[in-house]
Amino acid sequence: VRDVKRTIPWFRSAAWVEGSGSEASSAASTSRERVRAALRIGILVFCGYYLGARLGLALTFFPTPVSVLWPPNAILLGALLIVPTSQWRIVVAAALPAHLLAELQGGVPIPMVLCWFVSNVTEALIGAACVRALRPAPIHFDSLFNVIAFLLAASLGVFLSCFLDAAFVALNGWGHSGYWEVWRVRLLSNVTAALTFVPVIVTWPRRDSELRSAKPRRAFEAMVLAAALFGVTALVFDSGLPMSVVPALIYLPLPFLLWAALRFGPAGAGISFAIVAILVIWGTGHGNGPLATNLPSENALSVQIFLMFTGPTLLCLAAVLKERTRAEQQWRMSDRRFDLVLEATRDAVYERDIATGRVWWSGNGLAHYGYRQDQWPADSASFLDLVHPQDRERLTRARDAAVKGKKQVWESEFRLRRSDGSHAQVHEQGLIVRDPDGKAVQKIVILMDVTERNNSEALNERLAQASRMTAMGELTASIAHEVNQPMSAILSNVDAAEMLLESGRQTSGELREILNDIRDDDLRACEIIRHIRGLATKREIDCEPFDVHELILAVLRLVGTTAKMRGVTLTSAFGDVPHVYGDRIHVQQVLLNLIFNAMDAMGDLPEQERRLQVTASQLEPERVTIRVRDRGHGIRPEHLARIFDSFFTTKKEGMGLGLSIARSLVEAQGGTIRAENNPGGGATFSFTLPVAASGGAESPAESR
Amino acid sequence: MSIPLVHIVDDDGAARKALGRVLSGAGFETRSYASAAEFLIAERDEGPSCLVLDVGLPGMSGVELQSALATREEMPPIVFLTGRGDVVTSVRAMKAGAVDFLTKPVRRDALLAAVRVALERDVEQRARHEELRILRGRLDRLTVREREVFDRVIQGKLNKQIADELGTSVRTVKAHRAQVMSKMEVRSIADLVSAAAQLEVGSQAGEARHFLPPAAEPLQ
Repeated sequence: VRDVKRTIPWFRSAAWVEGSGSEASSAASTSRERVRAALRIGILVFCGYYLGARLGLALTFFPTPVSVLWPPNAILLGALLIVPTSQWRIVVAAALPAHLLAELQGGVPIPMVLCWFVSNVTEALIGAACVRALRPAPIHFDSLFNVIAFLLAASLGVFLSCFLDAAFVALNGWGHSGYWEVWRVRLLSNVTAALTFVPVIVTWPRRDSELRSAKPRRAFEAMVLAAALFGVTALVFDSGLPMSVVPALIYLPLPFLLWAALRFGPAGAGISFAIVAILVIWGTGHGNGPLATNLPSENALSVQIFLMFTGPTLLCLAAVLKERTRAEQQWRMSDRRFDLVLEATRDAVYERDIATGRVWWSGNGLAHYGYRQDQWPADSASFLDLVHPQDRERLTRARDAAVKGKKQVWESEFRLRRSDGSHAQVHEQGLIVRDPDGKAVQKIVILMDVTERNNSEALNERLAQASRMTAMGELTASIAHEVNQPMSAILSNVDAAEMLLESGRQTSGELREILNDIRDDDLRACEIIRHIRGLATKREIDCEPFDVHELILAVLRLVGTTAKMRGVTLTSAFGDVPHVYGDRIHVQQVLLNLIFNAMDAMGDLPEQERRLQVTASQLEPERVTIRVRDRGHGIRPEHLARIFDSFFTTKKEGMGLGLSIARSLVEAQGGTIRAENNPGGGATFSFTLPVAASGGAESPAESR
Repeated sequence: MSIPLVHIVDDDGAARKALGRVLSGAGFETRSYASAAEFLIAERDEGPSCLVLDVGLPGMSGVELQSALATREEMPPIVFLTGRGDVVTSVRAMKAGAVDFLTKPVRRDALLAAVRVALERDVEQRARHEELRILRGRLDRLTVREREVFDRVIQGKLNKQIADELGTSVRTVKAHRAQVMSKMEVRSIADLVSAAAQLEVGSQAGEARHFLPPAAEPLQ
């Protein structure tokens, strides 16, 4: 994330600088920005180049016309690397006056000065172009690939431009060195400079960088490090003390350079290395330190080799560390995200090593169940202690079966003891990790608290039953009538039989007929009672194929008396529909609910208009649609969307549960329910039920 | 005298059949109907009869059938049967002249007792109807002037008063009066007043008039 943050301002300023169309909301302000940015680049390059040239001249040791370290070229390369390609001409244009200013002070002839400018610019352009070709975006030294790309590109630029430069020197007859000597000296000097200064420029902490927003403690550490590095390097390379001549002492700055790379990344490494490089060159140039052993030109070579091998190593180290840190951050972030998800779901996740039985918890662990972290079981045996004794064996069996079998996942449900001693209903989902031989090595288990879900399922069932009981209350008259009818027929038949017997006539045929009728009536009464008992008892969904006609007729018979009392005419119409698959009692309940609603809706109409029709038809191949159509006032359009919501009601004493229960019952059977207004007034409620699979007995699995 | 006939109207086939068995076992002739409409369009016999009627019929209910029959001047005594003790309905039915209001399931003794009462009432009713029919026939034989005299005689007016009111002589009134007595086949003024009371004419006590509107045809 931090990396992205750092690149965004760069891109934005680049976009301004290039004046891209999308950003050109205000042409005036855009062009002003563009000029300002160009000016800033120009001034920085001019100052950098000039100061670099002064530094390079200061580090030039006679009699060679080439500096040990020639920074201007490196500064030019660094500048080209950090600005967009379109700004390169500004960089080159700004460097020219600085070059002239610096070189002409040294009394160099103008042609030679100009030739050097050409070779310097060539070097920087080759290096920058190669880097850009490999890495189109602005380069950061935070990956090994980038660092190596930079090292190769910069070296190539120097290598090629040196042929040109040496030729220019020979042409201008400057100095006394031969072509190859100039070539060699310039090559080493410029490579050293590129390695020393470009990283500083490229990694210099810019806007939003971590170093800019560093905390005081870190700033203090940086200052201590800088002071120590400066002190040690100055002591070893520039103190002139006799002891400093010991060659092994050149390693003394190393711990501090590593410290910088380790703690402050590529930027720290780059700056530290630049400090060391300048001090080493300065000290050695003045004949101090372990590298100042021979002629100045030979000393320069030692210094360059020392720096050329120290710098890249340090840069690579910092880049690798950076890569490592980034990967770790990403991993940590995804781990954190995982933990957050776990926290949000309140699920507990643990891993278990199968061989040792050890358990590791993730996220909140068992905090949701009231346990402190030190109470979370550390092995499977103590975990099992938390499982309800009655569930232990079942759980163990399910797990063992999953491990032994070829299965990859298992699911189980058990009761887990909370810290307060109560039990939570827990759903366990496990994944088995196997080694290449298929041997189970690890289990990853997710525990979900489903207590509430189960409770709400139970609540729903209780509500559904309450609604059935309400329906039964409304049906009392019908039920009494329906049961009473066969009962009274039975009584009369018994009376008649008795009278026949009293008459003393030959009556066996008649008596048999009467007994048959009594049996039929008794069965009829039992059938009605069975229907009602279904409504009254608490039950779970029980789907089976059944005949919709039969069910609708039974329901209409049941509500017949009630409808008559309310002055409602009931009619029904059936298409040729197949058997459906569902729960009879629930369908009956839904139908009763819809019929009662329809009768309520027609309560204030004149009696001849209170008509209610129940139809069944097969509109889709896989579904049967049952409609209840009334002639009432219909449903207000703004209510249509909410009519199946819980606690939504338009009735004065309604609870708003009937239709929501109806919907949950229909959906539990794989159907849908909807309400609409009839074009001619009134409303139609319709629900669908899945068609029973042909053969009748088998059921579509998804309807459960 | 023919066998008493009991009409059973009940939408429940089993109940109909069972009631029929009990009633025929007790020696009655029975006829069954599944709905009020079926009963209304059926042909009637002359003999004594009554109605065992289920209140909760589909379509036209038992009570509705009762009032429909009343407008047709058919007054077979009705024994109502009901599945539930609905006080309002039973009061209305009893006020409209029902013999009894029995709750299903109905015991044989209660049913037979009610049916017997109903049949007795039917016999009485038929006798009263017959008498009325005869009286009505006699009344119809009176001329307009005789009817005017009749109305005034039963109001207790003297011949003189009647003659004054009708603008005629006492002698003429006397002649008409003798004619009325003869046509109405009564021997005394007291008998004439009693016949008038039965016919519910000429007096102010005509609240039950709708049972026998003067213009209606006699009961068949």
